[in-house]
Amino acid sequence: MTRQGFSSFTRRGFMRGAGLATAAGMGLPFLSSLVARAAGDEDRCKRLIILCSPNEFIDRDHWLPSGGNGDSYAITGLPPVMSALEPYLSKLLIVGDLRMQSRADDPHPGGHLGTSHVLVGRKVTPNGSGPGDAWGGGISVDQYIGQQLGMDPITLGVRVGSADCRTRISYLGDSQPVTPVTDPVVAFDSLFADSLMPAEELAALKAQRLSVLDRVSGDLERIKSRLPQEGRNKLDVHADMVRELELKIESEQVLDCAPVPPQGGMDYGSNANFPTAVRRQIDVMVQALGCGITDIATLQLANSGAGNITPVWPEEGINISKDYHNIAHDYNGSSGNAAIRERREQLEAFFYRMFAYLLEQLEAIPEGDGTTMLDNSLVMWSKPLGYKHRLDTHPFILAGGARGRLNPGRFVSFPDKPHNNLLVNLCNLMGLDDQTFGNPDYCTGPFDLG
Amino acid sequence: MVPALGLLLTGCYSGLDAFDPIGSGGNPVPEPSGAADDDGGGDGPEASCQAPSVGVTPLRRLTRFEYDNTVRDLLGDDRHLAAARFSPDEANGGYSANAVAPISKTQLDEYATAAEDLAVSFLDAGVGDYVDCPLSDSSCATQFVTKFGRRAFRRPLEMTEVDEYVALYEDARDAWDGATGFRIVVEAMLLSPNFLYHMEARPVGAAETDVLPLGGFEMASRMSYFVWASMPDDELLDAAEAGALDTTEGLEAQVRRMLEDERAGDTIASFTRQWVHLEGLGDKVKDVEIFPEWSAVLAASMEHEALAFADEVIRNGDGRLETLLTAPWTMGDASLAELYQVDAPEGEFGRIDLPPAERAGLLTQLGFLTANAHAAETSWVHRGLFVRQNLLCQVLPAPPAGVDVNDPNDAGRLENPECTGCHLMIDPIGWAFDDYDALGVFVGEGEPGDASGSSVGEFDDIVALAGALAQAPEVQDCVASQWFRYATRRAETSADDCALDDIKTTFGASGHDIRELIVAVATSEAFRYHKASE
Repeated sequence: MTRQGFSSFTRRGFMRGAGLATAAGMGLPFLSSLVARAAGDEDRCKRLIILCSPNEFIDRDHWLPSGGNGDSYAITGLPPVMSALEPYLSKLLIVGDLRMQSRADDPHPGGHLGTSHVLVGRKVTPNGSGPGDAWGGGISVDQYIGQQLGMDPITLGVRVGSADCRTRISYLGDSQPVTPVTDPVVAFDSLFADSLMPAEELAALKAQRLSVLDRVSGDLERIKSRLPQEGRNKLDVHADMVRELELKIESEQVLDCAPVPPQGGMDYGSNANFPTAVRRQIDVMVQALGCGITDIATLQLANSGAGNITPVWPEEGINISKDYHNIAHDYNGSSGNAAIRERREQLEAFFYRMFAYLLEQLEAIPEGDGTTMLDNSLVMWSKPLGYKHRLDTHPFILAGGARGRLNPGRFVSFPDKPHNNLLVNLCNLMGLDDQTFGNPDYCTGPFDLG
Repeated sequence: MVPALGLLLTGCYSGLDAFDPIGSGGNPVPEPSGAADDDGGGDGPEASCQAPSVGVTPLRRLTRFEYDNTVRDLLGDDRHLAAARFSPDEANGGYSANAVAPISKTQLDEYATAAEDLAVSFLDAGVGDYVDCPLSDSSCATQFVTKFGRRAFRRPLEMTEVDEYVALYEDARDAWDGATGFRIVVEAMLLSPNFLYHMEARPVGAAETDVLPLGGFEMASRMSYFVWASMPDDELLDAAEAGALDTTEGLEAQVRRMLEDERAGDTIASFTRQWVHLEGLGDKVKDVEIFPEWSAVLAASMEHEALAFADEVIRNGDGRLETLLTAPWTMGDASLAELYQVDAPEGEFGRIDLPPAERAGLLTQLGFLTANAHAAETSWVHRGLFVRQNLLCQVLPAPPAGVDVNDPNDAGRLENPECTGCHLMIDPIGWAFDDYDALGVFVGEGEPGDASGSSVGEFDDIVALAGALAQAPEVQDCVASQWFRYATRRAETSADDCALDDIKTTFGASGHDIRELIVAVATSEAFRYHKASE
């Protein structure tokens, strides 16, 4: 188990200022870029938001925009399943036909392990012989950027399912999954509850929590020495998490915003409430980003198998008593059947509506100089698997102005080029000068997105 | 290292030439390589079983079920906070274990929030169970830390630990008040690694590869989390302290005592729920047009049925595997009796006799059949795979890359050379299950089945399959392996061969009595020794 040295970094903003001298003294290799970044956030796109829909794409006709032929053209229209995105045509950069090459090395390349590849770009690390007995094989791009920028990304999910490589998108390192928060009320409370508490009550609570964590740290340190290496490694990570929590409690977070909590008393984990839960998680995420708690957020919807999503959602105009997994498989086997085709398209359209809902929320919040959150953000949307579970013809959709660093409204295609390259683009747009990401064998450097 | 989980049927894809599509007679499935007992190896068990041998046990955190049971026994709090609020457990060897990935920030938050909540409730209602003295006194706190700590950490606290926790209390008492001091102590202990992990310390200086016996308290903890899915009681801790768990006789006496306790029902329920894939039954969506009766209440009844049935057989009945797999009766309520098309039980919930031509044990119960089916249709794959993986301990690989995956029940895949290898192992079992619809109702639409590649071979229907499985040596061995995996929360490795062979022999000698299997696992070398690295 590698720890990727994340305890050497803090992930909260204070390190950017006060911590620099320490970093300089230690002569850490990334220092020059850290100094450059510390000069100001203007050097990068303001924030990165990743939204991952479940399962697989439909064939190319269902995501290829109109407007021209070949590898690069201006978008003039979208396939009908994507119609929810029509208002945002000029804000989309559709990157087509990539290849999720790292999946080829998996023990089950034809299976559903894609979730652990989307942001990692490395083969999974097996820990058993069952099809899902594995974890992602390295740090994910959201967590990596967070570490480099000294901030803690938000990792949210809705109905992500069990705990294995099919259900986790973010990682701190090899076999170190980041557990998403799947209930919007819990997510809201962990982000905002303390800030909304009366000052005196909060001060007492903080002092008590810190004294508890101090004792826990002591216990961790003592017991560690009596464990074998494997156990010590786990407790080292545990101790890092405790320190993170202490830093969070100690930080004096002052919000200049008034976040609105999601409605309580609702089972946000149920299949029936899935559409509502997605919207509420998007609300929480956009508020956290808008309030400046962090600049990086990931939201994962269901998982790469998606057998746990059955779209009986009458209020969404969808009523299909079959799980997503089988809706997709039926289509792959019998796409000529009108009824099978229609329900597959209905389901696909729903997930594009969720994507559009995110863009709508981002566009609704002004950020000065006539810009909106969307103008200053970079959104990446995709899915874990290509059409029919394939590795190739895998599209990714970028959205937002990225603070002028992206030239959207276009389609670009890089047939069979590894998706790792696009992860490098994300790093670069967020102000890092990395030239590779994930398994370097599957990365030929950032794309020229034009 | 990837442990070998039973028999990996890599032969699914190789040797396609040997295949005949179904119907041409003979055995259509090649004999899986390595199917024979491993005992024939050069360094067989006779030679290597002298010294204790055991697979590597990683450090693992309590599962959600263990956490809830532990706070029930420690604090008297039965709100099941972990089941409601904690992120799902990571499985290992087929059973929830939390043994591979380290803790994540979200999980620490979950533990911290629960600890605050539990400590507040405990201060209101539970402290009196431990001490009867003024909460403002340091001596009272010392008494509490010593007594509560021994249960929470499943071992006596060391002197320095007592001092540290009393100091924690005093700081909080001086800043606020005595009750706050007690609350902070409880909160810290619930958030301590000594509480959250199955802590198995090793002597300083021991090599990672040394096979060492567990200490008494570690043994007590392993035993209680195996037999009760919860913390040890005082009697077990006292036995550990007195050294009574250092002998096989002492261990056995405790296991038999614990099996008589109500809490043994928690382990039987936990094992059955995971073995028969009942987790998530309540979350299943069914087609309302076809199954208007489907509801969360019905799902709960079905889960209750399977768990109550297993409990009735193992704790009150003859305990035998054969009964679990073939009994023409079950435990249920009126809603289930209606689906079984038989008379309702006397009383709200009780024994229901079933038509013996239609029903035989767990495999024909509503919960198994409903959980292993789709919204409208049955699932050949889920039901067939269950027999292969959980009853025969055969492991099949996932579909190959780039294969066109179609309909869930697609007969055409048996003619596709890419699919036929594995699906010939799965589908011919699955389609015999079509006697039962996606809610487990008998509809009689199954075809005679084929479980070739096992001693069962061809069979007429699921009742016949269940009878044959109950007599199949590989199923009897597989059930022993499943309980071993449950007990250790890991897959067996070759280092466990000697212990597992002994367990299987004892299980067989008992007439395949699950109770004797539990005793055999708990007293086996593989359960009593620890190794940190290969």
